[in-house]
Amino acid sequence: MELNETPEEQHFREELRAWLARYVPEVQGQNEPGAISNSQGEYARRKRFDQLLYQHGWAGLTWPKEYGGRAGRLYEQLIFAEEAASAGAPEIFNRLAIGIVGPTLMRFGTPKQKARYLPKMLSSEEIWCQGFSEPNAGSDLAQLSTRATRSGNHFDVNGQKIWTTLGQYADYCFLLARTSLDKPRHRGITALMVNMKQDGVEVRPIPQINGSHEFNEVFFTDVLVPEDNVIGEVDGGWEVAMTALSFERSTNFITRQVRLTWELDQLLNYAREHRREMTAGLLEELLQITISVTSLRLAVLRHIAALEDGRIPGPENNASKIFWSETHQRLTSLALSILGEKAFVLGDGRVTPDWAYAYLSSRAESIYAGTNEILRNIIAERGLGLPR
Amino acid sequence: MNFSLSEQDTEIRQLAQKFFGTECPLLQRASHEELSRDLYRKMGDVGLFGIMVPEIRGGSAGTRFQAGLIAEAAGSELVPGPWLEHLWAIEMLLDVPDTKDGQWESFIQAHQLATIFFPPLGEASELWYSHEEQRLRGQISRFSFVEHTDLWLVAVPNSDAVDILEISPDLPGITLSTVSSMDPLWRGAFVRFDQVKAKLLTILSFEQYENLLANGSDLVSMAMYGAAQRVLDMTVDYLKTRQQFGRTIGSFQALKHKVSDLFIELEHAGSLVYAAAGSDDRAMQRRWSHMAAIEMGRVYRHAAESAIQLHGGIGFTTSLPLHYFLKNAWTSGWRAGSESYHQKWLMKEFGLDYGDTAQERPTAFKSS
Repeated sequence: MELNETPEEQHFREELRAWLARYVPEVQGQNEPGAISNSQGEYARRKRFDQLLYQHGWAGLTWPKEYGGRAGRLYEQLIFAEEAASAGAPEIFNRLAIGIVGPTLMRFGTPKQKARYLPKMLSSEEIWCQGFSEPNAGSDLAQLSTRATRSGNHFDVNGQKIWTTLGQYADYCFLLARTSLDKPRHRGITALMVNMKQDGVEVRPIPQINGSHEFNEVFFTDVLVPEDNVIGEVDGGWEVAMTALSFERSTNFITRQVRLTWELDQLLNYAREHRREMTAGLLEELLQITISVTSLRLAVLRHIAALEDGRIPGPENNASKIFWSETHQRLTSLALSILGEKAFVLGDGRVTPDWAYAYLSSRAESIYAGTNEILRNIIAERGLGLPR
Repeated sequence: MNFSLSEQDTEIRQLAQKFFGTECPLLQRASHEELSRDLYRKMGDVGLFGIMVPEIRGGSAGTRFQAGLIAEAAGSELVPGPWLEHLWAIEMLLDVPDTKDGQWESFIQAHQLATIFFPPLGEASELWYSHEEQRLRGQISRFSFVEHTDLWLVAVPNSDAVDILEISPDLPGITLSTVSSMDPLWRGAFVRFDQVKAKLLTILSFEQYENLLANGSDLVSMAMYGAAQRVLDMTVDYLKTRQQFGRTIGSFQALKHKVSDLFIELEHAGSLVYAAAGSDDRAMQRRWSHMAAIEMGRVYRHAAESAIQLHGGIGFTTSLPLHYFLKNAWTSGWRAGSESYHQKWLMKEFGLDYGDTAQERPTAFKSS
């Protein structure tokens, strides 16, 4: 067990920090890191940052070298997230492509598909979204009913997706559709790459309780998808989807706790200054959350070590997703309790972080990427071996 | 940065688990409470007590973390007696230069068992030691395992340092009366010292002393982690076998969620515990150590309470050893400092304490 950074890791951190100090000011906007606004300016700014990363060799940190990545360690990804957050850098815009779709394509794609799509994911020339959930297939994903019907060497896609992050910007969608009705429901699904900039694709933003509309509904009406765009086998999409979800769940946990730590630091600073106006109860709750955040970070380090050792991921990252989202909800509630009316004002820039936005946004975190209830079932069934 | 166990760590962990699982198995042993000197000598023989002692003194020159792994394994079988205090005493003696080789051997082999009284700083002490006369007077109201040990190490804080005394139980001037506790695994006594001739072993600065407390606290937290994991395992096993309404009760979602919560809490508290026990950076260790004590204590208690609920009626009986965990969860949590002690340290560390101004505040019924 080595809990200090090696000279190589420190070097990586310093080099990255210097680079961020040089380039982040070029793309600094009014929004905080991570917050998504829908303005075109915001879109341009974030895409520009992705491209800067690409030009200077920072894109695809953990992608293999043969696909243009840096073949870095997971721990370097954590360093990247920490340094990017403290430099105020925007979140990686094409994160679904780089974190989920790309690695899935590396596993299941044909050489031709890889050569066509991977480079443009890495350079953020093409932005990707993911079309999994539907109005009647949320937690129960295998219930999905978007149809892809073969006609000649095309599929004709009809249906509706929901909660599509980045849908309004995306050039391509990694879509799950039903290709067979007469097979068991898990075996009639196919993964397709769908061009979003074509007739028949309609994106409608969903107004959210935090005032943002990060999520979208996407409607597909007689959308033509060439058969060359099938990932893996026709009717073999469930396996592709499960692999994609495992990438999502194995990398997300690295970055999401970084923002939480940053917010905690801001509240600690505020509390230090104003502690004499605060009750002991509030201060103790803040300490308790500090303990939770510290333990989350350490659990993430332990999990990274397990993955780097090549151990098969167990239920630990589901545990961390639940713990992270619930700790963030506690933190943002406490921030509102402590700051009161000062924090209720939405995004006037006078309070940093924007606690009201963070509080409202945090309510989604126990719902997306697997509701915490579903994840608790997964821990009990697949982790602890309890019967279904 | 690498949070993995080394090969040697893994070996020691397996060795300790196998040893306690064979020699002191929780679910098969005749008595849960009986303290067996024979077991302690076997622990000495396989080298569990010499883990941190240099090879030149007959130990295996392992790390603090490896001692923690032994504590984790002992905790999961609820090994009775002062094994933790003995390990902690040995760790303390490592910094005392004039400990004789023969003495080391008898500690490592557990021919002599030691216990400690190391109260947190800031607690009112009822002990006074005179350097000139080398005499100790006063009392300890709750001294662990005194009746089962051959040597006591007692800390007496004074205004600028902490005296560590070595006391032999048969010295004149010592009177004992046994204290009973809700935890049958904890044995202790009220001890009065009436001008007892006590040897001054060493004098520690406050910082050295608090580091010693943190090291002991990490052993306690590792033991609690081992115990809490065992409680979870037993509960999961029960949920997989018990049938009601024609179903295995573990298939009910309400129970799945409760047991998942324990897993989630343990995963995170356990990471803190491992980091504290495995850190060689003093500043970070202190932080993690206090956090681990609070968090692991809370999680262990919660696990033991939930385990009883999830076992239903049988959980409330003495047919299962679950009640030992519940009781031990409380006494363990206080084995190396109270919750208030750990919390106050952290409040200060993070700048969240009221500082001196707290004393200037008006009392409840009278304004100043």
